[in-house]
Amino acid sequence: MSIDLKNVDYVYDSGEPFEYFALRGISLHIDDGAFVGIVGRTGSGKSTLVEHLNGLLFSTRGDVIVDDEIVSNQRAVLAKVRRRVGIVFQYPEDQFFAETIFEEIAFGCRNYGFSKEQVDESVHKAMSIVGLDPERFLPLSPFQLSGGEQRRVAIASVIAMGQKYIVLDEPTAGLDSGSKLAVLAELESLRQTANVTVILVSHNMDEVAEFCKQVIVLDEGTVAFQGSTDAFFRDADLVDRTGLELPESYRLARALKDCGSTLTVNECSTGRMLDSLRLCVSEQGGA
Amino acid sequence: MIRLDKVSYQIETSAGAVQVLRDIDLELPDGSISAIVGPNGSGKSTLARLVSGLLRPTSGSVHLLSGIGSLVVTDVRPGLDVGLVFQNPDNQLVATTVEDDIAFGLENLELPHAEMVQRVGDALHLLGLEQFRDYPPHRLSGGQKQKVAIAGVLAMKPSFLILDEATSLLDPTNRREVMQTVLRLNHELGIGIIMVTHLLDEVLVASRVGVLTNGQLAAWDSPRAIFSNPVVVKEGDLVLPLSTRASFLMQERWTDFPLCLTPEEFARAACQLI
Repeated sequence: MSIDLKNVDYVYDSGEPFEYFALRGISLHIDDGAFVGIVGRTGSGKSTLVEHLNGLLFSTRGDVIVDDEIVSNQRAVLAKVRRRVGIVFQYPEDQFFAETIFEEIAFGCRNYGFSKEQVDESVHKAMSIVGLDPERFLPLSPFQLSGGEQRRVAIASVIAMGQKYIVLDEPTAGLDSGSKLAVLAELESLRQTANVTVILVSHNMDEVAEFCKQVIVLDEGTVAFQGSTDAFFRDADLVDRTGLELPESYRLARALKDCGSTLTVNECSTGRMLDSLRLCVSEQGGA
Repeated sequence: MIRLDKVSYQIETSAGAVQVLRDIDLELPDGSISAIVGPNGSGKSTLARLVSGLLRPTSGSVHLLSGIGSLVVTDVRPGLDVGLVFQNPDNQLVATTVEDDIAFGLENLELPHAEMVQRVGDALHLLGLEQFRDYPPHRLSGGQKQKVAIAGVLAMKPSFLILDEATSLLDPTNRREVMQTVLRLNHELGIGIIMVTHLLDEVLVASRVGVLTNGQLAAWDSPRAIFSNPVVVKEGDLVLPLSTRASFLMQERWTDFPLCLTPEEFARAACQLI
Protein backbone atom coordinates (compact mmCIF):
# COMPACT_ATOMS: atom_id res chain seq x y z
CA MET A 1 0.00 0.00 0.00
CA SER A 2 1.27 3.44 -0.83
CA ILE A 3 0.54 6.90 -2.17
CA ASP A 4 1.63 7.41 -5.77
CA LEU A 5 1.50 10.42 -8.05
CA LYS A 6 1.93 9.84 -11.76
CA ASN A 7 2.83 12.79 -13.95
CA VAL A 8 0.62 15.20 -12.06
CA ASP A 9 0.11 18.75 -13.34
CA TYR A 10 -1.91 21.31 -11.49
CA VAL A 11 -2.67 24.49 -13.37
CA TYR A 12 -4.35 27.52 -11.82
CA ASP A 13 -6.59 29.44 -14.26
CA SER A 14 -6.01 26.84 -16.98
CA GLY A 15 -6.51 28.30 -20.46
CA GLU A 16 -6.73 31.86 -19.13
CA PRO A 17 -4.16 34.60 -19.73
CA PHE A 18 -2.86 34.17 -16.15
CA GLU A 19 -2.49 30.40 -16.49
CA TYR A 20 0.03 29.21 -13.91
CA PHE A 21 1.55 25.77 -13.39
CA ALA A 22 1.71 25.17 -9.62
CA LEU A 23 2.74 21.53 -10.17
CA ARG A 24 4.39 20.21 -13.32
CA GLY A 25 4.92 16.53 -14.10
CA ILE A 26 5.08 15.38 -10.47
CA SER A 27 5.72 11.67 -10.05
CA LEU A 28 6.38 10.34 -6.59
CA HIS A 29 5.94 7.40 -4.30
CA ILE A 30 5.31 7.38 -0.56
CA ASP A 31 5.62 4.03 1.18
CA ASP A 32 3.27 2.77 3.84
CA GLY A 33 4.67 3.43 7.31
CA ALA A 34 7.31 5.93 6.19
CA PHE A 35 8.21 9.26 7.83
CA VAL A 36 8.59 11.53 4.81
CA GLY A 37 9.55 15.18 4.65
CA ILE A 38 8.29 17.56 1.98
CA VAL A 39 10.56 20.60 1.66
CA GLY A 40 11.09 23.47 -0.73
CA ARG A 41 11.06 27.25 -0.71
CA THR A 42 7.88 29.30 -0.44
CA GLY A 43 5.87 28.97 -3.64
CA SER A 44 7.51 25.69 -4.68
CA GLY A 45 4.15 23.89 -4.62
CA LYS A 46 4.20 22.12 -1.22
CA SER A 47 0.72 23.14 -0.12
CA THR A 48 -0.79 22.53 -3.57
CA LEU A 49 0.76 19.05 -3.56
CA VAL A 50 -0.53 18.26 -0.09
CA GLU A 51 -4.06 19.30 -1.01
CA HIS A 52 -4.06 16.68 -3.78
CA LEU A 53 -3.46 13.87 -1.31
CA ASN A 54 -6.99 13.81 0.08
CA GLY A 55 -8.94 15.35 -2.75
CA LEU A 56 -9.10 18.98 -1.69
CA LEU A 57 -7.69 19.72 -5.13
CA PHE A 58 -7.84 17.53 -8.23
CA SER A 59 -4.98 17.28 -10.69
CA THR A 60 -5.36 19.02 -14.04
CA ARG A 61 -3.54 16.06 -15.64
CA GLY A 62 -2.11 12.82 -14.24
CA ASP A 63 -3.23 10.51 -11.43
CA VAL A 64 -3.07 10.65 -7.65
CA ILE A 65 -3.39 7.12 -6.31
CA VAL A 66 -4.03 6.36 -2.63
CA ASP A 67 -3.85 2.62 -1.89
CA ASP A 68 -4.82 1.68 -5.45
CA GLU A 69 -7.69 4.16 -5.45
CA ILE A 70 -7.42 6.88 -8.11
CA VAL A 71 -8.49 10.12 -6.43
CA SER A 72 -11.43 11.69 -8.24
CA ASN A 73 -14.35 13.89 -7.35
CA GLN A 74 -16.77 10.96 -7.17
CA ARG A 75 -18.49 10.94 -3.80
CA ALA A 76 -17.72 7.32 -2.94
CA VAL A 77 -14.05 7.63 -3.89
CA LEU A 78 -13.61 10.87 -1.96
CA ALA A 79 -15.19 9.39 1.16
CA LYS A 80 -12.76 6.46 0.98
CA VAL A 81 -9.70 8.63 0.37
CA ARG A 82 -10.53 11.05 3.17
CA ARG A 83 -10.96 8.15 5.60
CA ARG A 84 -7.35 7.28 4.82
CA VAL A 85 -5.58 10.62 4.56
CA GLY A 86 -5.84 13.29 7.27
CA ILE A 87 -4.31 16.76 7.02
CA VAL A 88 -3.22 19.05 9.86
CA PHE A 89 -2.97 22.53 8.35
CA GLN A 90 -0.75 25.40 9.47
CA TYR A 91 -1.90 26.98 12.71
CA PRO A 92 -4.67 24.39 13.20
CA GLU A 93 -5.59 25.92 16.57
CA ASP A 94 -6.97 28.94 14.71
CA GLN A 95 -9.83 26.65 13.71
CA PHE A 96 -10.92 25.70 17.25
CA PHE A 97 -14.62 26.23 17.80
CA ALA A 98 -15.90 23.80 20.47
CA GLU A 99 -16.54 24.51 24.13
CA THR A 100 -14.46 21.65 25.49
CA ILE A 101 -11.41 19.80 24.26
CA PHE A 102 -13.46 16.58 24.23
CA GLU A 103 -16.00 18.13 21.84
CA GLU A 104 -13.22 19.57 19.70
CA ILE A 105 -11.58 16.18 19.16
CA ALA A 106 -14.85 14.22 18.95
CA PHE A 107 -16.22 16.38 16.13
CA GLY A 108 -14.39 14.67 13.28
CA CYS A 109 -15.01 11.18 14.66
CA ARG A 110 -18.76 11.79 14.85
CA ASN A 111 -18.73 13.01 11.25
CA TYR A 112 -17.29 9.63 10.29
CA GLY A 113 -20.17 7.93 12.05
CA PHE A 114 -18.24 6.51 15.01
CA SER A 115 -20.48 5.07 17.78
CA LYS A 116 -20.51 6.83 21.16
CA GLU A 117 -18.10 4.23 22.60
CA GLN A 118 -15.78 4.50 19.59
CA VAL A 119 -15.72 8.29 19.89
CA ASP A 120 -14.89 8.05 23.57
CA GLU A 121 -12.13 5.54 23.01
CA SER A 122 -10.61 7.40 20.04
CA VAL A 123 -10.56 10.73 21.87
CA HIS A 124 -8.82 9.26 24.93
CA LYS A 125 -6.32 7.39 22.81
CA ALA A 126 -5.48 10.45 20.70
CA MET A 127 -4.96 12.56 23.82
CA SER A 128 -2.50 10.11 25.31
CA ILE A 129 -0.63 9.84 22.00
CA VAL A 130 -0.01 13.60 22.00
CA GLY A 131 1.01 13.45 25.65
CA LEU A 132 -1.92 15.26 27.28
CA ASP A 133 -3.62 13.74 30.32
CA PRO A 134 -7.27 13.10 29.24
CA GLU A 135 -8.69 13.36 32.77
CA ARG A 136 -7.21 16.79 33.28
CA PHE A 137 -7.61 18.32 29.84
CA LEU A 138 -10.76 16.93 28.19
CA PRO A 139 -13.24 19.06 30.20
CA LEU A 140 -11.26 22.30 29.65
CA SER A 141 -11.90 24.85 26.93
CA PRO A 142 -9.32 24.61 24.12
CA PHE A 143 -8.91 28.37 24.40
CA GLN A 144 -7.50 28.08 27.95
CA LEU A 145 -4.39 26.21 26.80
CA SER A 146 -0.88 27.42 26.02
CA GLY A 147 0.26 27.50 22.38
CA GLY A 148 2.07 24.16 22.60
CA GLU A 149 -0.90 22.44 24.23
CA GLN A 150 -3.31 23.88 21.65
CA ARG A 151 -1.17 22.53 18.82
CA ARG A 152 -1.23 19.07 20.40
CA VAL A 153 -5.01 19.14 20.76
CA ALA A 154 -5.31 20.11 17.10
CA ILE A 155 -3.07 17.21 16.10
CA ALA A 156 -5.06 14.87 18.38
CA SER A 157 -8.27 15.90 16.62
CA VAL A 158 -6.87 14.53 13.36
CA ILE A 159 -5.18 11.46 14.89
CA ALA A 160 -8.45 10.48 16.60
CA MET A 161 -10.06 9.75 13.25
CA GLY A 162 -7.58 6.91 12.82
CA GLN A 163 -6.41 7.67 9.29
CA LYS A 164 -3.38 5.71 8.09
CA TYR A 165 -1.73 8.67 6.35
CA ILE A 166 -1.27 11.89 8.32
CA VAL A 167 0.00 15.00 6.59
CA LEU A 168 1.20 17.90 8.77
CA ASP A 169 1.94 21.33 7.35
CA GLU A 170 4.53 23.05 9.56
CA PRO A 171 3.26 21.46 12.78
CA THR A 172 6.07 22.94 14.90
CA ALA A 173 6.13 26.57 13.64
CA GLY A 174 5.95 28.91 16.62
CA LEU A 175 6.45 26.18 19.22
CA ASP A 176 9.28 26.33 21.74
CA SER A 177 12.10 23.85 21.36
CA GLY A 178 10.80 21.47 24.03
CA SER A 179 7.30 21.28 22.52
CA LYS A 180 8.77 20.92 19.00
CA LEU A 181 10.72 17.80 19.88
CA ALA A 182 7.84 16.37 21.91
CA VAL A 183 5.35 16.72 19.05
CA LEU A 184 7.72 15.11 16.52
CA ALA A 185 8.69 12.30 18.89
CA GLU A 186 4.98 11.57 19.43
CA LEU A 187 4.45 11.33 15.66
CA GLU A 188 7.41 8.96 15.36
CA SER A 189 6.02 6.72 18.08
CA LEU A 190 2.60 6.76 16.40
CA ARG A 191 4.30 5.66 13.18
CA GLN A 192 6.04 2.81 14.97
CA THR A 193 3.12 1.59 17.07
CA ALA A 194 0.20 2.09 14.66
CA ASN A 195 2.08 1.92 11.34
CA VAL A 196 0.78 5.38 10.48
CA THR A 197 2.53 7.09 7.57
CA VAL A 198 3.68 10.58 8.56
CA ILE A 199 4.18 13.23 5.88
CA LEU A 200 5.82 16.34 7.29
CA VAL A 201 5.94 19.66 5.44
CA SER A 202 8.66 21.73 7.08
CA HIS A 203 11.07 24.62 6.66
CA ASN A 204 13.17 23.39 9.57
CA MET A 205 16.00 21.32 8.08
CA ASP A 206 17.30 20.21 11.48
CA GLU A 207 14.02 18.49 12.26
CA VAL A 208 13.76 17.01 8.76
CA ALA A 209 17.27 15.54 9.13
CA GLU A 210 16.43 14.17 12.57
CA PHE A 211 13.01 12.61 11.89
CA CYS A 212 12.46 12.02 8.16
CA LYS A 213 14.28 9.10 6.55
CA GLN A 214 12.93 10.05 3.15
CA VAL A 215 12.53 13.49 1.68
CA ILE A 216 10.73 14.98 -1.32
CA VAL A 217 12.23 18.28 -2.47
CA LEU A 218 10.06 20.56 -4.58
CA ASP A 219 11.37 23.40 -6.71
CA GLU A 220 9.13 25.53 -8.91
CA GLY A 221 6.42 22.90 -8.99
CA THR A 222 8.67 20.00 -9.94
CA VAL A 223 10.34 17.25 -7.91
CA ALA A 224 14.00 18.28 -7.58
CA PHE A 225 14.90 15.27 -5.46
CA GLN A 226 13.26 12.27 -3.83
CA GLY A 227 15.02 9.66 -1.80
CA SER A 228 17.03 9.38 1.37
CA THR A 229 17.24 12.56 3.44
CA ASP A 230 20.88 11.83 4.11
CA ALA A 231 21.72 11.67 0.40
CA PHE A 232 19.98 15.01 -0.15
CA PHE A 233 21.84 16.85 2.60
CA ARG A 234 25.17 15.42 1.42
CA ASP A 235 24.64 17.26 -1.85
CA ALA A 236 25.29 20.81 -0.63
CA ASP A 237 24.99 22.30 -4.13
CA LEU A 238 21.53 20.84 -4.63
CA VAL A 239 20.47 22.04 -1.18
CA ASP A 240 21.60 25.54 -2.11
CA ARG A 241 20.04 25.45 -5.59
CA THR A 242 16.66 24.50 -4.15
CA GLY A 243 16.76 27.48 -1.77
CA LEU A 244 17.22 25.37 1.36
CA GLU A 245 19.93 25.23 3.99
CA LEU A 246 22.06 22.49 5.53
CA PRO A 247 21.15 21.18 8.99
CA GLU A 248 23.67 22.15 11.66
CA SER A 249 25.11 18.63 11.87
CA TYR A 250 25.92 18.56 8.15
CA ARG A 251 27.46 22.02 8.39
CA LEU A 252 29.63 20.80 11.25
CA ALA A 253 30.86 17.77 9.32
CA ARG A 254 31.68 19.92 6.28
CA ALA A 255 33.44 22.57 8.35
CA LEU A 256 35.65 19.90 9.95
CA LYS A 257 36.48 18.42 6.57
CA ASP A 258 37.17 21.83 4.99
CA CYS A 259 39.74 22.81 7.60
CA GLY A 260 41.39 19.43 7.37
CA SER A 261 40.73 18.31 10.92
CA THR A 262 41.70 14.77 11.84
CA LEU A 263 38.34 14.57 13.55
CA THR A 264 36.40 13.20 10.62
CA VAL A 265 32.78 12.51 11.26
CA ASN A 266 30.20 11.36 8.78
CA GLU A 267 27.56 13.83 7.78
CA CYS A 268 24.42 12.76 9.57
CA SER A 269 21.65 13.89 11.89
CA THR A 270 22.31 15.52 15.26
CA GLY A 271 21.99 12.48 17.53
CA ARG A 272 24.18 10.21 15.44
CA MET A 273 26.67 13.03 14.90
CA LEU A 274 27.37 13.31 18.63
CA ASP A 275 27.81 9.55 18.92
CA SER A 276 30.20 9.50 16.00
CA LEU A 277 32.14 12.41 17.45
CA ARG A 278 32.35 10.70 20.85
CA LEU A 279 33.80 7.60 19.19
CA CYS A 280 36.27 9.72 17.26
CA VAL A 281 37.40 11.57 20.40
CA SER A 282 37.97 8.35 22.32
CA GLU A 283 40.05 6.93 19.44
CA GLN A 284 42.15 10.09 19.33
CA GLY A 285 42.49 9.92 23.11
CA GLY A 286 44.00 6.46 22.86
CA ALA A 287 46.49 7.49 20.19
CA MET B 1 17.99 53.81 25.65
CA ILE B 2 14.84 52.08 26.84
CA ARG B 3 14.81 51.40 30.56
CA LEU B 4 12.44 49.05 32.37
CA ASP B 5 12.24 49.52 36.15
CA LYS B 6 10.56 46.81 38.24
CA VAL B 7 8.00 46.18 35.51
CA SER B 8 5.14 43.86 36.43
CA TYR B 9 2.06 43.03 34.42
CA GLN B 10 -1.04 41.17 35.46
CA ILE B 11 -4.29 40.31 33.74
CA GLU B 12 -7.67 39.74 35.35
CA THR B 13 -9.43 36.51 34.42
CA SER B 14 -12.60 34.85 35.69
CA ALA B 15 -10.32 32.68 37.84
CA GLY B 16 -8.64 35.73 39.42
CA ALA B 17 -5.54 37.78 38.66
CA VAL B 18 -2.72 36.14 36.69
CA GLN B 19 0.78 37.58 37.03
CA VAL B 20 2.26 37.52 33.51
CA LEU B 21 5.50 39.40 34.23
CA ARG B 22 7.15 40.14 37.56
CA ASP B 23 9.77 42.76 38.48
CA ILE B 24 11.58 43.02 35.17
CA ASP B 25 14.62 45.33 35.19
CA LEU B 26 16.18 45.82 31.78
CA GLU B 27 18.26 48.38 29.88
CA LEU B 28 18.25 48.34 26.09
CA PRO B 29 20.97 50.71 24.78
CA ASP B 30 20.42 52.68 21.55
CA GLY B 31 21.55 50.74 18.51
CA SER B 32 21.93 47.43 20.36
CA ILE B 33 20.71 44.01 19.23
CA SER B 34 18.93 41.94 21.87
CA ALA B 35 17.05 38.66 21.84
CA ILE B 36 14.29 37.51 24.19
CA VAL B 37 13.87 33.75 24.56
CA GLY B 38 11.87 31.42 26.78
CA PRO B 39 9.22 28.68 26.62
CA ASN B 40 5.70 29.21 25.22
CA GLY B 41 3.68 31.15 27.78
CA SER B 42 6.70 32.66 29.58
CA GLY B 43 5.63 36.24 28.79
CA LYS B 44 7.84 37.08 25.79
CA SER B 45 5.15 38.71 23.66
CA THR B 46 3.76 40.62 26.65
CA LEU B 47 7.24 41.98 27.32
CA ALA B 48 7.53 43.03 23.66
CA ARG B 49 4.24 44.92 23.93
CA LEU B 50 5.30 46.61 27.16
CA VAL B 51 8.62 47.73 25.68
CA SER B 52 6.82 49.10 22.61
CA GLY B 53 4.32 51.02 24.74
CA LEU B 54 1.32 49.06 23.42
CA LEU B 55 0.66 47.85 26.96
CA ARG B 56 1.17 49.79 30.20
CA PRO B 57 2.75 47.97 33.13
CA THR B 58 0.55 47.21 36.16
CA SER B 59 3.43 48.50 38.26
CA GLY B 60 6.93 49.78 37.49
CA SER B 61 7.86 51.92 34.51
CA VAL B 62 9.05 51.79 30.89
CA HIS B 63 10.93 54.90 29.81
CA LEU B 64 12.82 56.21 26.85
CA LEU B 65 16.03 57.99 27.85
CA SER B 66 17.34 60.31 25.18
CA GLY B 67 19.24 63.57 24.63
CA ILE B 68 22.89 64.45 24.56
CA GLY B 69 24.28 66.18 27.64
CA SER B 70 21.12 66.46 29.68
CA LEU B 71 19.01 63.33 29.80
CA VAL B 72 15.36 63.49 28.72
CA VAL B 73 13.09 60.83 30.19
CA THR B 74 9.84 60.22 28.33
CA ASP B 75 7.18 57.54 27.94
CA VAL B 76 7.59 55.25 24.95
CA ARG B 77 5.20 56.23 22.14
CA PRO B 78 4.04 53.06 20.35
CA GLY B 79 4.90 53.09 16.66
CA LEU B 80 6.86 56.33 16.88
CA ASP B 81 9.68 55.36 19.22
CA VAL B 82 9.38 51.62 18.95
CA GLY B 83 8.00 49.73 15.94
CA LEU B 84 6.59 46.23 16.37
CA VAL B 85 6.53 43.51 13.68
CA PHE B 86 4.48 40.38 14.37
CA GLN B 87 4.72 36.76 13.30
CA ASN B 88 2.10 36.69 10.58
CA PRO B 89 2.38 39.53 8.03
CA ASP B 90 -1.16 38.80 6.79
CA ASN B 91 -2.41 40.18 10.09
CA GLN B 92 -0.73 43.54 9.67
CA LEU B 93 -1.11 44.43 6.02
CA VAL B 94 -4.17 46.61 5.47
CA ALA B 95 -4.03 48.48 2.16
CA THR B 96 -4.55 47.50 -1.48
CA THR B 97 -1.07 48.46 -2.68
CA VAL B 98 2.35 48.15 -1.09
CA GLU B 99 2.84 51.90 -1.24
CA ASP B 100 -0.46 52.66 0.52
CA ASP B 101 0.29 50.05 3.12
CA ILE B 102 3.61 51.64 4.00
CA ALA B 103 1.95 55.08 4.11
CA PHE B 104 -0.86 53.92 6.39
CA GLY B 105 0.82 54.72 9.71
CA LEU B 106 2.23 58.01 8.42
CA GLU B 107 -1.22 59.23 7.45
CA ASN B 108 -2.05 59.48 11.14
CA LEU B 109 0.90 61.80 11.83
CA GLU B 110 -0.41 64.80 9.87
CA LEU B 111 2.89 65.10 8.01
CA PRO B 112 3.23 67.39 4.98
CA HIS B 113 2.58 65.46 1.76
CA ALA B 114 6.14 65.88 0.47
CA GLU B 115 7.59 64.44 3.67
CA MET B 116 5.27 61.44 3.47
CA VAL B 117 6.25 60.73 -0.13
CA GLN B 118 9.89 61.00 0.87
CA ARG B 119 9.55 58.61 3.82
CA VAL B 120 7.58 56.01 1.85
CA GLY B 121 10.20 56.22 -0.91
CA ASP B 122 13.02 55.80 1.59
CA ALA B 123 11.34 52.80 3.24
CA LEU B 124 10.73 51.13 -0.15
CA HIS B 125 14.36 51.71 -1.04
CA LEU B 126 15.76 50.47 2.28
CA LEU B 127 13.93 47.17 1.95
CA GLY B 128 14.49 46.79 -1.80
CA LEU B 129 10.76 46.90 -2.53
CA GLU B 130 10.69 49.64 -5.20
CA GLN B 131 9.59 47.23 -7.93
CA PHE B 132 6.56 46.22 -5.84
CA ARG B 133 5.34 49.78 -5.14
CA ASP B 134 2.00 49.30 -6.93
CA TYR B 135 1.57 45.59 -6.17
CA PRO B 136 -1.33 44.31 -4.08
CA PRO B 137 0.37 42.93 -0.90
CA HIS B 138 -1.51 39.61 -1.09
CA ARG B 139 0.31 38.78 -4.34
CA LEU B 140 3.69 38.84 -2.59
CA SER B 141 5.54 35.90 -1.02
CA GLY B 142 5.71 35.53 2.77
CA GLY B 143 9.17 37.09 2.99
CA GLN B 144 8.19 40.01 0.77
CA LYS B 145 5.05 40.61 2.84
CA GLN B 146 7.10 40.63 6.02
CA LYS B 147 9.42 43.20 4.42
CA VAL B 148 6.41 45.39 3.58
CA ALA B 149 5.32 45.16 7.22
CA ILE B 150 8.84 46.18 8.33
CA ALA B 151 8.86 49.04 5.79
CA GLY B 152 5.58 50.37 7.20
CA VAL B 153 7.04 50.32 10.69
CA LEU B 154 10.33 51.93 9.55
CA ALA B 155 8.58 54.80 7.77
CA MET B 156 7.61 56.02 11.24
CA LYS B 157 11.36 56.42 11.97
CA PRO B 158 11.39 54.54 15.27
CA SER B 159 14.61 54.27 17.26
CA PHE B 160 13.87 50.63 18.07
CA LEU B 161 12.39 47.75 16.09
CA ILE B 162 10.87 44.75 17.87
CA LEU B 163 10.44 41.55 15.86
CA ASP B 164 8.03 39.19 17.64
CA GLU B 165 8.87 35.87 15.96
CA ALA B 166 8.75 37.82 12.72
CA THR B 167 10.57 35.17 10.68
CA SER B 168 9.09 31.96 12.05
CA LEU B 169 6.64 31.51 9.14
CA LEU B 170 9.28 32.09 6.45
CA ASP B 171 11.36 29.58 4.52
CA PRO B 172 15.14 29.56 5.06
CA THR B 173 15.88 31.85 2.08
CA ASN B 174 13.28 34.44 3.05
CA ARG B 175 14.31 34.21 6.70
CA ARG B 176 17.94 34.89 5.84
CA GLU B 177 16.93 37.82 3.63
CA VAL B 178 14.73 39.43 6.28
CA MET B 179 17.43 38.94 8.93
CA GLN B 180 20.12 40.45 6.68
CA THR B 181 17.86 43.44 6.08
CA VAL B 182 17.27 43.90 9.80
CA LEU B 183 20.98 43.70 10.57
CA ARG B 184 21.71 46.21 7.82
CA LEU B 185 19.14 48.63 9.30
CA ASN B 186 20.88 48.26 12.64
CA HIS B 187 24.29 48.81 11.11
CA GLU B 188 23.47 51.68 8.76
CA LEU B 189 20.77 53.55 10.66
CA GLY B 190 21.65 52.58 14.22
CA ILE B 191 18.15 51.28 14.90
CA GLY B 192 18.01 49.18 18.07
CA ILE B 193 16.72 45.64 17.42
CA ILE B 194 14.86 43.41 19.87
CA MET B 195 13.99 39.91 18.65
CA VAL B 196 11.53 37.61 20.38
CA THR B 197 12.56 34.26 18.95
CA HIS B 198 12.90 30.49 19.20
CA LEU B 199 15.53 30.37 16.48
CA LEU B 200 19.16 29.80 17.26
CA ASP B 201 20.59 31.85 14.37
CA GLU B 202 18.75 34.90 15.65
CA VAL B 203 19.90 34.41 19.23
CA LEU B 204 23.51 34.22 18.08
CA VAL B 205 23.53 37.64 16.39
CA ALA B 206 22.36 39.39 19.58
CA SER B 207 24.81 41.05 21.91
CA ARG B 208 22.47 40.43 24.86
CA VAL B 209 19.97 37.64 25.40
CA GLY B 210 17.16 37.77 27.95
CA VAL B 211 15.78 34.45 29.16
CA LEU B 212 12.21 34.59 30.46
CA THR B 213 10.79 31.83 32.60
CA ASN B 214 7.39 32.09 34.27
CA GLY B 215 7.31 35.83 33.81
CA GLN B 216 10.69 36.51 35.37
CA LEU B 217 13.97 37.42 33.76
CA ALA B 218 16.13 34.40 34.61
CA ALA B 219 19.20 35.77 32.80
CA TRP B 220 20.39 38.76 30.76
CA ASP B 221 23.76 38.08 29.20
CA SER B 222 25.75 37.40 26.02
CA PRO B 223 24.75 34.30 23.98
CA ARG B 224 28.02 32.62 24.97
CA ALA B 225 27.42 33.18 28.67
CA ILE B 226 23.81 32.00 28.34
CA PHE B 227 24.71 28.76 26.56
CA SER B 228 27.49 27.97 29.03
CA ASN B 229 25.12 28.18 31.99
CA PRO B 230 23.36 24.82 32.34
CA VAL B 231 20.82 26.16 34.85
CA VAL B 232 19.68 28.93 32.52
CA VAL B 233 19.62 26.56 29.53
CA LYS B 234 17.36 24.17 31.42
CA GLU B 235 15.04 26.81 32.88
CA GLY B 236 14.72 28.66 29.58
CA ASP B 237 14.01 25.40 27.76
CA LEU B 238 16.78 26.25 25.29
CA VAL B 239 18.17 23.70 22.90
CA LEU B 240 21.94 23.97 22.83
CA PRO B 241 23.53 24.39 19.41
CA LEU B 242 25.00 21.09 18.24
CA SER B 243 28.42 22.78 18.13
CA THR B 244 28.09 23.68 21.81
CA ARG B 245 27.13 20.13 22.75
CA ALA B 246 30.06 18.89 20.69
CA SER B 247 32.33 21.33 22.57
CA PHE B 248 31.23 19.88 25.92
CA LEU B 249 32.08 16.46 24.54
CA MET B 250 35.54 17.65 23.55
CA GLN B 251 36.06 19.20 26.98
CA GLU B 252 35.74 15.75 28.57
CA ARG B 253 39.01 14.87 26.86
CA TRP B 254 40.65 18.31 26.35
CA THR B 255 39.61 20.39 29.33
CA ASP B 256 40.63 23.71 27.78
CA PHE B 257 38.65 23.19 24.54
CA PRO B 258 36.65 26.43 24.02
CA LEU B 259 32.88 26.59 24.12
CA CYS B 260 31.81 27.03 20.48
CA LEU B 261 28.50 28.32 19.19
CA THR B 262 28.74 27.61 15.44
CA PRO B 263 30.07 24.73 13.30
CA GLU B 264 32.74 27.01 11.79
CA GLU B 265 34.00 28.05 15.22
CA PHE B 266 34.08 24.42 16.33
CA ALA B 267 36.01 23.31 13.26
CA ARG B 268 38.62 26.05 13.82
CA ALA B 269 39.09 25.04 17.43
CA ALA B 270 39.28 21.34 16.52
CA CYS B 271 41.95 22.02 13.89
CA GLN B 272 44.15 23.96 16.26
CA LEU B 273 43.94 21.15 18.73
CA ILE B 274 45.19 18.26 16.66
